[in-house]
Amino acid sequence: MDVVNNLILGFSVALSWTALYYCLVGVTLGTLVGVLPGVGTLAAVALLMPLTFELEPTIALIMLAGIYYGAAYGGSTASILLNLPGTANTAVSAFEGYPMAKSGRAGVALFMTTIASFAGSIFGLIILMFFAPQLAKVALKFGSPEYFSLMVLGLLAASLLSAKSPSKALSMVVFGLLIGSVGTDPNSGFIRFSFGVPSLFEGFSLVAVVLGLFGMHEVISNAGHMRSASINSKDITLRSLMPTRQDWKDSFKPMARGGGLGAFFGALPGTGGAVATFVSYATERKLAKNPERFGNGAIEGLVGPETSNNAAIQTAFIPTLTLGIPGDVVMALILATLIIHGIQPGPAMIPQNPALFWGLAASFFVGNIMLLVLNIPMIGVWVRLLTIPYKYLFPTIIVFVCIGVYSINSSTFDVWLVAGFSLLGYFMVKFGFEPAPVLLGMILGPMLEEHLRRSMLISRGDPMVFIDRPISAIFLILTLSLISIFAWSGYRKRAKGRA
Amino acid sequence: MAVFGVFGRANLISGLIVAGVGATTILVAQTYPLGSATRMGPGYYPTILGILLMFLGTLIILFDSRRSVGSGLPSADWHSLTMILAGVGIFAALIETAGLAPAILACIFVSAQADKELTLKETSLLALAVTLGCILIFDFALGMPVDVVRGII
Repeated sequence: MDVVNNLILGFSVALSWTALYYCLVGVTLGTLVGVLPGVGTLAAVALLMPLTFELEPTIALIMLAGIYYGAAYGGSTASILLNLPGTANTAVSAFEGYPMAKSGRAGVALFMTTIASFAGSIFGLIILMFFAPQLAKVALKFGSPEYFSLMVLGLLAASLLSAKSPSKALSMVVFGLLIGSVGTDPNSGFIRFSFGVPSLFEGFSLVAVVLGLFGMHEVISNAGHMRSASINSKDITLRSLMPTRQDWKDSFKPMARGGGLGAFFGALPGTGGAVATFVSYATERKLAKNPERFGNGAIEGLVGPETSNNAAIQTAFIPTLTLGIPGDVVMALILATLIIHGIQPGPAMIPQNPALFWGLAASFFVGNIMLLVLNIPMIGVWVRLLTIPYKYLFPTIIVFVCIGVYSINSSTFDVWLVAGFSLLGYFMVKFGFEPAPVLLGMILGPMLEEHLRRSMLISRGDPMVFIDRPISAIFLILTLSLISIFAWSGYRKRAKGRA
Repeated sequence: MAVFGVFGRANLISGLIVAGVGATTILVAQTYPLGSATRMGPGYYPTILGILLMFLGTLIILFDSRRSVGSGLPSADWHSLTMILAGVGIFAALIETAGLAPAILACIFVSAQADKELTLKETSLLALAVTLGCILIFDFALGMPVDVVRGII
């Protein structure tokens, strides 16, 4: 059996001491940044990325991915206890989790979200292991024109679906592509947009841009505003964690539905966990026999979204690992890590590096079991960490960002870049521009240009090549319909506003 | 301005900046070899991006400026912004000229000003703890090639 052999291969990688160690480091750090409000998953992944350049690519990915899904476990802790979501994807968990905590059922809420997270992850993981190799087989037939169109679709979907203003989101994508083109052009050796600065010959430092646009932005907007709440960590005893038989009964079906919704939305670019959690919450509310319980601590509204968030996180690896199209910014960093290690992400990756794909998948299983242990018997530790005031955290974060960025190239220019991009990011957000598409554009830009050039070379300069090839045409039609939906809904909103 | 009214001002400015970046990109890209559609030179792709930015900037001016939602000139938290950026800047200025320890200490003392609740005593303790921790992690454990205090350690 193919699957059995692959699983044996995967576990032989994931159960090595090195892999186990880095997996544990990843999920522990993930839980930590998830628990602490105001410390972003993206910033954590970006800071640790340079440390993984020395490691084997599989081990590097195991650790970075661990931070990503570990943060989803930790994020709900802050949502439930403080009504302050640790990550954007766990915002919904506060809707029912916080009322449960207020009525003295914090322990049960924490226990059930951990179980829901685990169930969702395992479900998403099974979908990932089943579908990723199949999708890769289809995608192996893609040529440059198909890739170009697919990347255009991926970039647009990822930026439009979460955008308030479509034209602003698209201009951020193009701005990101532009930033990605800075530095030496691989085709001609010509240096673009460096303005004579030697540090820019290799392009902008990705880590500096990420930390400036996202990490520091978060610090600037929270510093001086975020106040810690008081929670009594002694209330969370092991006994208080135990759910009743009724809780289990109420949770089973929402968890199954949440898992399905999450797995579906996670695999689509640009939607991911956040959308899945809202859809799951709305579904549970609609299906509930007495919806008035919602908002007062209905466990269905907590476990459903929690399951879907974690399922979505696992299936988000499908487009990233098989097509090389990241669905969100953390996935974009994972993709960038692969590229830095010299692995071309795409459909050929799974057949060429079976140990990487199956090892990573097996490590997800191992990591989720570690998270069960970290989050149930050790929940008290995390609850106590929640009480660290932000005023002590933010100067520490700034120092870590500075040292982290400096250490990559021993370059003070990169530290100045962080300051520059923090300023840019701060005002971009103030003026209604989302920073996420910039990052996606920056990472995908060089590949997009390469596929554009190759396609035009094949077709001898005829842009019809993108429409003549059927798969590419389908991607472009999807892109066009996406744009028209957004243009139409924007027009309708304006018409309503005037009336 | 009168055409767009006070509401659209932020969006008008945004659109102008986006279009301006596009125009600059096109101008700079013209100094690179353009090539042809079949064999694109290094200037071809940036030119396309510049045109797209000018187009999107125009769209923002034409459509977003008339929307009253989310426009109006935004206010900024200048105090936190300045202090935190100054903290990063002073780190960049000191890390190679004075060494790791002075850079961290200065960075914490400056950026801590962003939160007025931090007392001098708290800041000093925090600065001391973070500096010691970072020296242990980055200098001793990871062997970062930088002086702790330049010329001394």
